[in-house]
Amino acid sequence: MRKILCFISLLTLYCAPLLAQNAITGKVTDSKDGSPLAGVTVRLKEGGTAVVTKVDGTYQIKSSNKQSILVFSSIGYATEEVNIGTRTRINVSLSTEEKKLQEVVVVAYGASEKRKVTGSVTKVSGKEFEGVPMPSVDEMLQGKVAGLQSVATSGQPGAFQQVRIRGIGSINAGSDPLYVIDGIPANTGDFSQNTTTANALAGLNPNDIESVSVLKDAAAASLYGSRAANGVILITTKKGKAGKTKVTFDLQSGFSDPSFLNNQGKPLSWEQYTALTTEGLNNATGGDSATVAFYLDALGKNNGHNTDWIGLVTRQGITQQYNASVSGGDQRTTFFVSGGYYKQQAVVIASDFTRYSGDFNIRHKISDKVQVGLSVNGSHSIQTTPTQSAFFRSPVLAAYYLRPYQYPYNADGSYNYDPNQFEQIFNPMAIAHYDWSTLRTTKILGSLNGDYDIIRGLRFSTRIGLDYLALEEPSYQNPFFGDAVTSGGNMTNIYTRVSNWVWTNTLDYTRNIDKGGNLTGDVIVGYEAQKSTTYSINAIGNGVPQLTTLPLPPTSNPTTAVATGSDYAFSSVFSKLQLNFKNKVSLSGSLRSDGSSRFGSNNRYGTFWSVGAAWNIDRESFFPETDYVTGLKLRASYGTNGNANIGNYGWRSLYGFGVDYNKLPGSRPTQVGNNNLTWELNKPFDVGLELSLLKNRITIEADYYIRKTTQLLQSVPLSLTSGFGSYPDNIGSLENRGIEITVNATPYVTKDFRWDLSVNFAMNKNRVTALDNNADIVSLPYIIRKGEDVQSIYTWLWKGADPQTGAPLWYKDGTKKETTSDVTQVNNTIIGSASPKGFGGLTTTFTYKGISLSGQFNYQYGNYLYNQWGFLSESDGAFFSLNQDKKEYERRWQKAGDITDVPQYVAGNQSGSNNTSSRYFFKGDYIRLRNVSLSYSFPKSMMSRIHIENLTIYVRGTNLWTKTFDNNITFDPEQPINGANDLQVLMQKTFSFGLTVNL
Amino acid sequence: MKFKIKYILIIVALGSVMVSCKKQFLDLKPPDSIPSDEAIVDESSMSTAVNGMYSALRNVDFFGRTLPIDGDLLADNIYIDPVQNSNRYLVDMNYTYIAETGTIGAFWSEAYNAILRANNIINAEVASSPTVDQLRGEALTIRALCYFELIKWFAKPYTTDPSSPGVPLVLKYDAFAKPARNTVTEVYAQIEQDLTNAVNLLDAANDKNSSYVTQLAAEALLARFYQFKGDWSNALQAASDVVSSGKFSLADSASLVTYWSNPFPVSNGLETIFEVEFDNVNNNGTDNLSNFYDQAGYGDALCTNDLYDTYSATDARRNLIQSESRGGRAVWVVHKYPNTTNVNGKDATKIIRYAEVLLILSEAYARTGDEPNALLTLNSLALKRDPHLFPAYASSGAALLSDIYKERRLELAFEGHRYWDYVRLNQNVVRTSISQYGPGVPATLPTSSTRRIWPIPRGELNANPNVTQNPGY
Repeated sequence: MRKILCFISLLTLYCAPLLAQNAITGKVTDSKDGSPLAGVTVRLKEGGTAVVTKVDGTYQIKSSNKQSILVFSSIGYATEEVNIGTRTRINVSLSTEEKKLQEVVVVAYGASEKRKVTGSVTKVSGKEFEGVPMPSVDEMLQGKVAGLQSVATSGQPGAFQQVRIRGIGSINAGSDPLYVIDGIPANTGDFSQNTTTANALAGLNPNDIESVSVLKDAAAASLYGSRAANGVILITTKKGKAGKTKVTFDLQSGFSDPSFLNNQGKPLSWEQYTALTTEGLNNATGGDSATVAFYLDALGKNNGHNTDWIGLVTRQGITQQYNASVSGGDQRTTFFVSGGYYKQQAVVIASDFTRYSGDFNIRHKISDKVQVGLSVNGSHSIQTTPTQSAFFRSPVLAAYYLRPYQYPYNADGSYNYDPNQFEQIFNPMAIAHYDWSTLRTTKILGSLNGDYDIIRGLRFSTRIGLDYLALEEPSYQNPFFGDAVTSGGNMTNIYTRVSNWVWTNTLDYTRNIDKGGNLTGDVIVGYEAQKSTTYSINAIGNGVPQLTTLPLPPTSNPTTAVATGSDYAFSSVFSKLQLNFKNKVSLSGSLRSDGSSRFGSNNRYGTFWSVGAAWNIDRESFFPETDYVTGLKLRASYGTNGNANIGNYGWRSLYGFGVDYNKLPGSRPTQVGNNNLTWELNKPFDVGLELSLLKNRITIEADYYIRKTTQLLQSVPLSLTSGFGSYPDNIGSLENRGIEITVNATPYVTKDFRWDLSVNFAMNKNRVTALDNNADIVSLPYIIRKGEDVQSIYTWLWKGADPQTGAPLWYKDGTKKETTSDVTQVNNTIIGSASPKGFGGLTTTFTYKGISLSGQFNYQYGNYLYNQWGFLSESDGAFFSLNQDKKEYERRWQKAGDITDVPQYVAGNQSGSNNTSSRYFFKGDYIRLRNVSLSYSFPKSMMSRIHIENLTIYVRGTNLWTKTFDNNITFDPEQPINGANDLQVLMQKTFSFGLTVNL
Repeated sequence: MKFKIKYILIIVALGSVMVSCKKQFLDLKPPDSIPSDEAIVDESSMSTAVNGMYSALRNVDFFGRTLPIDGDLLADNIYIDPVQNSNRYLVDMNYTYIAETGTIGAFWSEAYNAILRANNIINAEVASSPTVDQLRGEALTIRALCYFELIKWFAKPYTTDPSSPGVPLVLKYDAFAKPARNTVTEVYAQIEQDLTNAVNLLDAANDKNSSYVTQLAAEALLARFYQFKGDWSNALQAASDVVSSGKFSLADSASLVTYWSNPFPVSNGLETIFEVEFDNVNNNGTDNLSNFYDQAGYGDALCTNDLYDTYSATDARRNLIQSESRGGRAVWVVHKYPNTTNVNGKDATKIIRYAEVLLILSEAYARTGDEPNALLTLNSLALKRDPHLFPAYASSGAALLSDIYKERRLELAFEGHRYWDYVRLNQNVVRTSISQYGPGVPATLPTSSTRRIWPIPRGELNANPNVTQNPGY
C-alpha cells in the first residue's frame, strides 16, 4: 500500500512539470547549403532530456515555462544557443566555420571542447593524411605539429619512422611516444628480426584516419600514466555518420627519383677516378710509373669497362594507391567500410612496399541508453628490403664505393660475380637478382565496445581491443657468391607473432553542480588491463640447392631451430576530474595507478597525477568586447608520468640456456636483475597561451615547457669479479625545456579567393643533469656528459690540409690554439649535438573557386649530421681501391700553397687523416618543400547532373625541393635522430597525379 | 529490461576487476629462462649448469685462443708474422699491453664468469649423492683451474714473492661486492684446497670422456700446481698417482699426427687427460685457435726457427710442423690443430695431457734427488716420441734438469706452457730467433721487468676502488 502511495506521489511530482509543458519543433540545417543536418543534439540549457534531429533535420522537444534556452550542438559545427521566448517552432542553421577554440578535440579517454582543455593538445585533421604518397601516418606528421620531430630512418617505403615529442626523454629506455589507436595502446615499432627496417604503423592505411591528437604535457597525457612520458599520439579512425550514404573513390599514380643527390657526394667517373688514383699512386711510389701502371691494371683500368654504379643501383620508382570507402547510416546504426591498395617502389633496386588494407566499423544504438560498436582494421603488406650500412651486399654501399672499372655483366650478358673482380663489395645487380629478403606482415586491429547510459549524465563504457601482428621473414642467400658462399647458401625463416589485448572500463559522470548550469563537473573513473605476448620461431639452414628460383628452398644442413617469446602486462586504475565554471575557467586533475610486469617486484605499482587549469580571459566581464581579440586563453599544467620502455624482464635475476657442451644443454647466469627496477619518471610543466585575433582570422598558440626526467635507466658497472659487468638501475636524470608556437592565419579572403597560412615552430634544449657517479658515458663519436645535450658529439677538431705539405692538420683541443699532424697529440672535444635547436613547418594554401594550391615547407636547424662511412670515400688514398666522392677529387691538396680542407691523396695513406673528426660532420640545417599539391574540384552544378557529389583531380609532389646550408654536405639532410648516415636506401621525391570522386 | 542490463554490466565490470587483479597477471617470466633461485635445484639441473660452466672455458680470450697463444708467444716458441697479419696479439708479442688492452680485460671477465658458474654449483643447496658429489668435484676443479690461470697472469709467482698481491678470491655470488686483492699465498691455499677437495669428491670409477674432469684430471692439475709452487714432494705424490693408475697411455710415434688430427674427445685414455671440447655447432668460428695457425685462415702464428731446430730429425713431433709458403716466404706452420674446415668437429684445447704429467714426475724425481727414476720417466716419453733417439737421456744434476726443460719445450709446444717455465724458474725470456719477429720487437723479457705480469684491466679499476694496479702500469 505504502509503495503504491510513494509511486503515485513520485508520479505526481514528475507529472507536474508535464502539465505546463510545450512541445517545440523545428528543423536544423547546414548554413553553407541549407541541407538538413541529422544527429544534431537539441537540449534545454537548464536541463532535461536531449533529443537528436532525424535524417530530415527535424526534431521535437518538450519544454516547460521555466526553461528558456535551447542549445543545438553537433561535432564539427559551432554550438548555437537560442532563446525560446514564446515560440513553438524554432529553425536553426549551424555553420562549420571552425572557430579553433570551439572545436572538439579527442583527448585522453574522451573528447572535449578546445576551450575547456587544460593541457597542450594539437589536433591534425585526417584530411591531411588522404592521398599522400607515403605509407604511414607518422611520416606525414613531420612539420605539422609544433614540438613533434619526425624523421625517416631510410628511404625504404615502410621504413621505421622516429618520432620525438618535446625532445629526447631517455638515454637507454625508448624515447618513442605512446600510440593509442581507437582507445587501444597499440604495439608500434619495428618487430622484424632479419629485415633492415620495418614499421608496424605502416599497416594502418592513413586514409582510414579521421584525426590525430598529440598530447604533450601532464594535463593532457598523464592519464596514460607510466607510458606517457614521451607524449601520446591518439589516432581515431573514420566512423560512419547518420545521413545519406557516402561513397568515395581515390586513385593516384606517380613516380619518384632520389630527393637529394648533390655534386659533393657523387661518386667519381672513370676519368676522375683514374686521375685521382694515378696521382695517389705516384705520390706513394715517388713517381714509379711501372708500379703505378701495375696497380692500375690490377684494379682493372685496362679492361675497357666504364660503369655508372649509382645509375644502375638507383631507378625511377613507381607509386600507386587506390582507396574506396562507403559510409552512412541512420539514427540508430552507422557504418564505415573501406578498402585500400598501396604500392610504392623506392628509388633503389630491390626495395618496395605493397599493402592491401580494409577497415570496417559499425555502431548501433540498441536503445536510447545502450549502444554497441565493432571496429576491425586489417592489412597485409609485403616489403622487399635491401641491406644498408657497410655490409658487402648493401646496394647503396656498392653504388658509392665500387670502381668504374668493375662491371656488372659479362660479355654474354650473364651476371659477373667473379670474386677476383669483386674482392670485397659484391656486385649489387647480381645480389639483387639472386638473393632476396621479404617481410610479410599481417596486422589486425579490432575492438568491441559498449556504452550504457545508466542515468542522465552517467555513462558506463567498456571496450575490448585486440592488436595482432604476424610477421613472416624468409630470406635467401645464394651458394655461389656472396656472404653465404662458405656455408653453401643460406635460407632463413623467421616467424613472429605479437598479440596484444586491452580491456578498458570507464564510468563517466557529468552534471551541473549548481542550478544555473554555471559550474559543471565531469568525473571519469576507469580500470584497464592489458597483456601483450610475442612468439617467434627461427629456422635457419645452410646448403641450398643450386637452383635459385624456389620460393622456399630446402636446406641440407639446419643450423638453428629455436623458439623465443616475451610478454608484458599492465593493470591500471585511473580517474580524472574536470570542473568548468561558466565556460570561463576549467580545472582538471588526474590520477592513475599503473602496475606492470616490467617493474621490479619492489616497485610494481606507480601512481601518476596531474593538475591543470585553463582560463578563457576573453569571456570575463572585464575583458573588452572587441573584434581584434576574439579569444584569449591561458592555461598551465603540472604533473608526473612515466616511461615504461625498459624491457620486459630487466628486473629479474635469470639463468639462461644455449651454452651447450658436447651438444648437451648448458645453463648459466644471464642477468643480475634488480628488484627495485622501475619506470623512468617524467615531470612536465607547461604554460600556454591561446589567442584568437580579428574574429579568428588569426589564431596563435604558444607553449613554454620544462620537462624533467629522473630515474633514468643506466647500466651501473659492477666489479668484474662478481661474474657480471653491470646491472640496470634507475639513476640518471635529464631535462628538456623549450617553446612551441603555432600560428594559423587567413591573411586574405574574398568571396572566391582565400589564402590560408599555418606556421609552427619549436625550440628545445636538452641537458643531462645527473649520471651514475657523474661519469661520462663515451661511445665515440658520441658522449653523454652531465651538463651537456644527451646527443653531444665528441670528436677531434679538423683544421684542413697543411698548405705546405698536404698533411692532415687537427687542432690539439677545443681552445684551437695549436694544430698538429700527429694523431697521438689530438684530443676529443664536444663540437655540437645531433639534436636540432629548432624545427617546424610552414603550410600555405591558396583557394580560388574550385582550384586549390597548397605547399608545406619543413625546416630544421642546429643539428649535426655524421658521415659515418665517409672515411672510405674521403680516405685521402687509404682506401684507394674504392671509388671516392667528388669532394675528395675536387678539393684535394695538390701543391704547396693550396689552402683546402682535403689533404693530399696518397695511395695507402697511413697519416690517419681519415680518422673520425669534425671533418666528417656537417650542419644539418635544411628547408624542404615537403608537400605541394594543386587540385581542381569540378563545380557542383556540373557534377550534380551526373549524380556525383564531388570530383577533384590533382597533382601532388613530395620532397620536391631541398635547400641545405652546409657546403660540405654529401647526402640527404633527413637522417635518423642520431644524425648518422648509414648508407640507407635513398630518400625520394615523388610526383603523382590522381583523382577523388565522392558520390 | 533496464535492470537486467544494469546487473549484467555490473557483473562484467566486477569480473574484469577480479580477473586481472590476480598478482599472477603481472608476474610474468621469460619463456626461455628461469629465475636464478630456481636454476640449480636437483641433480639434472645441476648437470645442466655444469655443462654451462665447461662451455665458459671456450671463450676466445680464455682457453679458446688467447691463453694457448700467449703462453707460447710471450716466450720464444711462436711469433706473429710481421709482414702480413690480422693485427692480433701484436701488443702481447711486444710486451706493450696496458690496462685498456681488450684481450686482457676480456680474459679477466671470462675467468670470473666461469668462477661464478662454478660457485653457484658448489654452493647450491642440493643434497649430496654420488652424482651431485661428482658434479661438485668438477666445479671445484674448474674453479681451481680458473684461479690458477688468473694468479699466474696477474700476480708474481709464489716462488718469487708469495706475499705480493694476487687476485680477489670470490667464493660466493655477490653482485655488489668490491673485493680487494688477496695475497698470492691465500690464492694458492684456496687452489690447493679446492683441488684436494675435488679429488675426494670425484669418483675414481667414473669414466666420462676426456672433455670432463675426472678424479685423475684433478690430480694431474694438482701435480702441475705443486710443480709451479715448487712443492716437489707433493708434486711427486700427485703425479705418481696419475701415472700408476695405468689409465693413460702415450700414442705411438707413427700415430702421433693421427692423434692430433682427431677433433673428438677420447674415452680410452690416449694422451688426453682433460680438454675443452669444441664441436661443429659450438665453436669460435674464425676465432678458433686452429684458424690462427692454419694458413687457410689467419695463419698469423708461426713456429720459430730455433724451436724447429731443437727437434731431432727423427722426432715424431717434428711432423706436426711443416714448411709452407706465406706471401712468398718459407715459414714453419704448426699442424697441431688441423680441423679448421672439418664440418663434423673442431679442435679441442688440451688443458692437460699425460705427457705433461710424466714430465712433472720426472722433474719431481730429479728435484727430490731420485735421478734414476727421473731418467726412466723422461726416457719413457722421449723414446716414445723418437724411437731412434740414441743415446737416451743419461744426464744428471743441472744437466738433467736442462734436458727435462728441453723435452718440455718440445712436447708441450703450442699448448701455452713455455712462458710459465721461464716464470716459475725465474729466468729471463730470450728469443733466439728474434730476427723473425720483425723490427722493434724486444729480444728479451728480463725477470726485473714489470711486464712479466699483466695489468689489472681498466674496467675492474673503474668499478672497484679496492683493487690496486700492478707496478709499472
